[in-house]
Amino acid sequence: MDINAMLQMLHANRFETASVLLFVVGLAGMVFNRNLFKKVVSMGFMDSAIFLFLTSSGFVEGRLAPIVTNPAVPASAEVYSNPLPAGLVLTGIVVSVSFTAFGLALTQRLYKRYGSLNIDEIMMRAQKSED
Amino acid sequence: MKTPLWYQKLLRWTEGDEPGLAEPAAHVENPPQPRAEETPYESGPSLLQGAGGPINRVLTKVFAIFSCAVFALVMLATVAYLPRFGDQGNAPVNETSRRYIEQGVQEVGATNLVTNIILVYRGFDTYGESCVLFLGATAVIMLLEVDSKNTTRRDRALLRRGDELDRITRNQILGHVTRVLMPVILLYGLYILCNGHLSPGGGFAGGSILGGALILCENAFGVEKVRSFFNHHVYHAVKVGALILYAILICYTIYVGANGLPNIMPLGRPGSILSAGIILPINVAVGLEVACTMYAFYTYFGRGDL
Repeated sequence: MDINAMLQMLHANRFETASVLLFVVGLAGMVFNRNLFKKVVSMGFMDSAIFLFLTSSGFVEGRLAPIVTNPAVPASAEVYSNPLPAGLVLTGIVVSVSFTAFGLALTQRLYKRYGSLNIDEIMMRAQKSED
Repeated sequence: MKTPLWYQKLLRWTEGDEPGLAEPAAHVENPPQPRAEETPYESGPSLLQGAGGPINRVLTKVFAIFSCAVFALVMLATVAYLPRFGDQGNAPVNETSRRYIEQGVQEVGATNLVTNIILVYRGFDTYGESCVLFLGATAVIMLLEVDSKNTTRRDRALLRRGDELDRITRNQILGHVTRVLMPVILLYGLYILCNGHLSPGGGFAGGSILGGALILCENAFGVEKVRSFFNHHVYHAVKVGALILYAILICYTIYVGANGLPNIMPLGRPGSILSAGIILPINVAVGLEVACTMYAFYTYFGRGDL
């Protein structure tokens, strides 16, 4: 696959491309930021990227959302799109909410204890208070 | 040779300083030592900077940037080889999904097939998810609860004083608007909650809306008003009760399904509101749990108490 075809595919899969870029933004934020609060926010970026990727890869052109409009007619698998990606994303969203709350609570406790959000300073002060 | 300004800015950004400060770090002769009580919510100069030497630091950063770039390129190349967006072969319907789609309405009774899957077919999974939410709220309460052991009397007095200030300077406009909006918000939340088996929505979405309504109520009328009907006892009773109700319903369904017994929960006519057996009670239980959790997150982060 040459570079032109690759770029065309990236354009055709633009939602997946956007989700990859969002994921890398979150990863860079996790790696480069020393601020714990920004780290938690970056983790939220990565979560959103995964959800965007799953939902966009579950989309099929021309198929309906998996909600049966007429229950009298037996549902056909060729009419509705696959309901499993939506279920997976729902699970992920709840876990990401819990994780964000837990991470922020830990961050707040660390700030109250050590007076800083910078991870290096927190480590320094923790070592100092141990000595 | 002078290092370019953008590189100094990048260095400062990667060390956790604010990127908006244009003055390069090299010009600061003696960086002031940060003190805990004087620099709230600001990351001072990192104390570990001298640990590895400048070469080591730069190498680490170059390696980090390089690995992020390589990761991005590999992922983008993978995306280029994925099937086209919206392609007919995407998310292929295998035998499991086919069963979910074709038999779901007859077997479980909800017209929303996603609800069928997450609450009945894979209900045990979603029960674990509710437990994660429960544990998250419990951990937040453990970490942030303000009591006489972990907070000085002065800080507690400050918190109380903040509440007092809130009471005195309460916003009249917010109160009036909330009086008008609250019934609509509650109705909307209940609609989403009880229509989870017929339309997009369900326990998690509806519960979030109800929790948002509680938060709005707390902002507009003050915490005493909310505490008059939603105190610790109600919170724990609703939260644990909802989780236990969910557990009982899921255990019953699994027991009945595994032993081939007839299910006494009526499936009803698909498409009507009282249908789909255990899905409606489970949605209500999940919604109550989520509403409690959302409100607990909000109030424990702000005040350290319910």
